[in-house]
Amino acid sequence: MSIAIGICYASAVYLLLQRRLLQVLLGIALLGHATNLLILVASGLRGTEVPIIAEGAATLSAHAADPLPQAFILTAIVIGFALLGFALALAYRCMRVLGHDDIDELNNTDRLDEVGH
Amino acid sequence: MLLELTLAIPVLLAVVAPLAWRRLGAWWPRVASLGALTVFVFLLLMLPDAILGHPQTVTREWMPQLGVTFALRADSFGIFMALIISGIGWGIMSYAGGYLGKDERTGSITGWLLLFMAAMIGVSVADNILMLFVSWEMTSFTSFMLIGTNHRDEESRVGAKQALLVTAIGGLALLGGLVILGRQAGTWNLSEMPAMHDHPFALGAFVLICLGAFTKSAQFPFSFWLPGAMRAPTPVSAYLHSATMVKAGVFLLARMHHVLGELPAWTPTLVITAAATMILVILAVPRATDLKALLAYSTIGALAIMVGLIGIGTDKSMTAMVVFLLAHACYKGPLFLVAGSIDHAVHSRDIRRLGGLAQKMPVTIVTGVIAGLSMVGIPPMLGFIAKEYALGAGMNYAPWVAGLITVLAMAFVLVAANVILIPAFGKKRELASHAHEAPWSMRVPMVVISSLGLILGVSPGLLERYIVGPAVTSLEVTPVHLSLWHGWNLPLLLSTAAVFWGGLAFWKRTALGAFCPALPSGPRIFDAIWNGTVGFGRNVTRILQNGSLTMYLGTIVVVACVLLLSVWIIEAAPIDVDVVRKVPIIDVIIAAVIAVSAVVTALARRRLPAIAALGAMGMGVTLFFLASQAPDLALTQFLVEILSVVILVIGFRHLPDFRITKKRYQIGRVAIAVLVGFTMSVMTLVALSTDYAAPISAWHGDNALTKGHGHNVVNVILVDFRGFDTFGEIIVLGIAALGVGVLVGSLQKLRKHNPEMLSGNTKEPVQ
Repeated sequence: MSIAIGICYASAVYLLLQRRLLQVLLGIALLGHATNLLILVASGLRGTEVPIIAEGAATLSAHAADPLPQAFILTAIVIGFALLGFALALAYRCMRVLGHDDIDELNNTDRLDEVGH
Repeated sequence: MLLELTLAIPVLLAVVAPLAWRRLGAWWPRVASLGALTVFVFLLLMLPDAILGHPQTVTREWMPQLGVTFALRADSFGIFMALIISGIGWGIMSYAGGYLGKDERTGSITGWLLLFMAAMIGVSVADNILMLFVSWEMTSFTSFMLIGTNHRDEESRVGAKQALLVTAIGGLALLGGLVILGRQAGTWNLSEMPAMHDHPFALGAFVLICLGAFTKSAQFPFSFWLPGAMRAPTPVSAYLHSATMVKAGVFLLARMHHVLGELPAWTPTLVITAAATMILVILAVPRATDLKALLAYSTIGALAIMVGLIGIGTDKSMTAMVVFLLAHACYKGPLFLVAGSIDHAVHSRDIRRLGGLAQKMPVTIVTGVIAGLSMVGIPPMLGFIAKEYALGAGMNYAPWVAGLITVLAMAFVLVAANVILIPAFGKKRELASHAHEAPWSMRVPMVVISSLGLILGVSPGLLERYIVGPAVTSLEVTPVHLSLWHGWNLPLLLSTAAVFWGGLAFWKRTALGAFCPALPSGPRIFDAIWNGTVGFGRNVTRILQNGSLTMYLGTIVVVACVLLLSVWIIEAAPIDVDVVRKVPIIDVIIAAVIAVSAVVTALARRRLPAIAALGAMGMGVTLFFLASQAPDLALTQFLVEILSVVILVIGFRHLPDFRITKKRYQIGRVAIAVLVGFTMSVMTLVALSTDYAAPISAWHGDNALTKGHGHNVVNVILVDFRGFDTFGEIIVLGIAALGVGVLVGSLQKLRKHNPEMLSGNTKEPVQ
């Protein structure tokens, strides 16, 4: 699974480095997946039961999976979705107003030798 | 109380200056000069205490944690310096009133001058060395404002910038030196500071303090800023750049003499720097034609003599230095004022265009002659005594020093003759026809200050007893006896020779000017360094900020990866092989699905396959969550994934298809991506193989039911233990939804009102 995470990251970065906004968007989505996996895997996949306290027991069984990373990831999935939606809307607007989706053309404010065009 | 007032009066006057100038008009400079005179009187009142050896002090806590105390101590040398500052200050304020006339900048110029005066008095009477530093920087800053008074003139701005940069760099060095000194000595007060010459850090402190002093006093190789500073109005040049501020460096070195004077490097450093500066001046004077430039060069030379005398550091040389300091203030100030009066009358300072002014401006010229005689060193002027003792002290140290001072004295003769004789008695030029005598407010200060040089010259006993003697004593040196005449000796011979040869040089000045080599201009070297630095910065920015977001991102991730991997290699973090070996087969299959769909997403050439592959990957992740005993995650991921694919498909309809970038660049991208992937894999494995701290999850498992009253621990964490996180998450979602609404919605509005706006590639604002 570690290797799969590596491959996910590699694909994500590869997409982020492209000039099309679309690919960058996909890259962001991939990056989110990769990171969620990383958090889960890094917490150690030792559990053999779901992290739900059994009926009658007072505490979580020692064999249960770690609940905390799961909580984090749950938050992260939802936020990642929000981010994807917002970025998509931004890309859409960018496309409609500027007429292109090349991110290297969206840099008028931080180039020294030419101002706008 | 008096001591605080000497600082408070000029500061208060400076604050009200712009307003007072508007209200009082021509009366304002008189009020300002009266303020300076009051300070002078207060200082005189404090002098007896200082002479008797129990100077007035003020101590107030300011920032005790940092050792900064508002500590003043009016010892004889401090008062001596402050008397010069306030005395000349009186003259300058009065003169400025006449010189600037109705100029609207009078208010601000006098304000800055007053503030400068306060700062300079602060330097003189500060006991705490950090307080001295603050005052020191304040003089640099006010000097910058005053040189740049005429800020519409480019050369003024350049001169101001150079002066500020040079003195501020020196100031930083000085701060370093003072901090070393204070920390090592265990006291921040000058008066308590012991001799530090055998301390291991003393040399470092000395070098830094020297940098501060040399930049301030325009010593080699920092001399160039002073001629540039001559762009300032003449009263400013006379006050800051000849009589007072440039002497701050000399003053500081004199103060440091009892602390660092025994250092082996002390004498050679100061004497050699002084000698180099003197040579520079000797070479520059014959070619100069501007009155103020001539005076500026001779000022640099005079400062060099003082620095050299402090370097020699004997009783005689220290006494000579104090006398020289006083004499220089008494003749160079008036000479500048004379040059200013000439400029004021005929609007030129070029000696090639001046001449025949003696009849038109008798008072100015007579004053100039008195001051000039002092500069040349003709008995019974104070300048004569100063030069005699300087030559004597130089002679005792090394004959070549005395020889150099003699040649410099020749250059002074040349300067004095150029500045006074040519404009006064030279061939009458057309400019002279409408010349007029300066007003009273300008004449009085010139006359008073220059005649001081004569009065003190004929009364060396008074000078020794009340002024020079106590000042030298407070430098912890024994003063030597002063007299106007001490027989036929070698210094007198050298002095006479200097006057004679100087006269000869003046007679043959055209030939001499042609003979002297043109020096590489200091400002030009400064500009080259300046432009080089700025250009370098611009190029670096252009390379780093090349406008390509891809490049920025690539740089960031590569740097991050290199850092992470280097930590991994250096720390030799282990990877537990068992972790890899124990992976169940189902995980391997899911991992393969995820990996393959990730790669397909990345390499897809069309939109739809890419989205499909992303969806497949999401499903793979869902499966993995399920396999890892995380049903909540699997559920959420499943729903989100479906939604994602839906919105992506909707969104992609509006976005163009991929375009394949050139292969050449793709290889680089692949390389970066592989590097990142490798790094992340390694990181994950390392994270799996180590246990830095006990996980805090157990607490949640133990308390979910008892405190959170829920069986599903993940849920309890989300809505109870970390409820605020979830609250924040909801806000983020809300904002994102709003954002999407605004971005998409406003477009629809736009489309309705202005359809052509959206069809083209135009960016013009909507009417």
